[in-house]
Amino acid sequence: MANRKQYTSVSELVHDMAPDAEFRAAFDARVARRKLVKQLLAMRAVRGLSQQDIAQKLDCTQSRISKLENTSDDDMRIGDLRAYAEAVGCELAMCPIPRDMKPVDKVKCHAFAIKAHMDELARLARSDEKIAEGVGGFFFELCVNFFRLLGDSAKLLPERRDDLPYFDLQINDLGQQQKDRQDVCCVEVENLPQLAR
Amino acid sequence: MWKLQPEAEYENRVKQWPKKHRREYVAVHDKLDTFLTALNRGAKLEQVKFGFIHPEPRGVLAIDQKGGGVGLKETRLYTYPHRRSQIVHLITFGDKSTQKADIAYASEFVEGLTQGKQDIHG
Repeated sequence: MANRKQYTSVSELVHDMAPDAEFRAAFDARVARRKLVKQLLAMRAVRGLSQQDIAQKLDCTQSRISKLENTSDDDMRIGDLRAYAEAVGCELAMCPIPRDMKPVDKVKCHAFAIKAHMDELARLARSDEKIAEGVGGFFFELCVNFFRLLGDSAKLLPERRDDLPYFDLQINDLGQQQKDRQDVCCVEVENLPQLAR
Repeated sequence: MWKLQPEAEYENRVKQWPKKHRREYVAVHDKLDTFLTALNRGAKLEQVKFGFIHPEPRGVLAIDQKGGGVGLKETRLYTYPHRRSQIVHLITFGDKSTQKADIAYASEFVEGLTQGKQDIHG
């Protein structure tokens, strides 16, 4: 039997296999209307909860939960969203993002949010040496993974006429460094001046 | 990360799916999207309690169109999530008139898959 094509998303599948463009458009429209609701449903599954469980937590009927889950994002009240999110052990974080926000500003926005979370972790670490050790290790892991992600994105850049890369980041074997220096987590990045290019 | 693998019978059925039942097609695939989102957020198969998923023999899961709108025809997508390879096989797609045959076909497909008669990419 020949290897069959695989898809990472239903949208990709529908765009490739739906009978015609009208099917694709109808699917896209439905998915766009239910992004938030779908995330909440996924979290209910992650927690292994049933509609009945949520109904009990929210002191309402199971049919009301069923109705909420089949509605669109636009038709859901913010209060219901927040209550459902809490019932599945989540916090509802909503903030308006300008539609014309530049990709660079989006990256900066996420970077500041990550910084705030890291500060929170660092503050937590003040209370206990073991936690501090764990947070230090996590910061290192984060750093390595960030550079890896950055490297992956850099690979998508086009080639320059002079064959030199627009962005080149050489990272030492950080995993080995961590093993070698258990006491201190450190990162050495070569060619740092190129970052500014 | 879980992936989707459409099988031959699913492809045939989708290609011939009538335009007048487009809403059913959309509703079922929207439910499939919810299922895949849950799996990829870390939900364990046995923990997934969605009313639109019906367990059938041999681990086949049938996804229906419920909640997709008023007056929709009973439609089901027969899937088999293979844990080891993290692939959701899309086996076949049909309505009430083919339900019995579809369940039998899906069950046979899984039997072949688990006995190594089909390529499971695992």
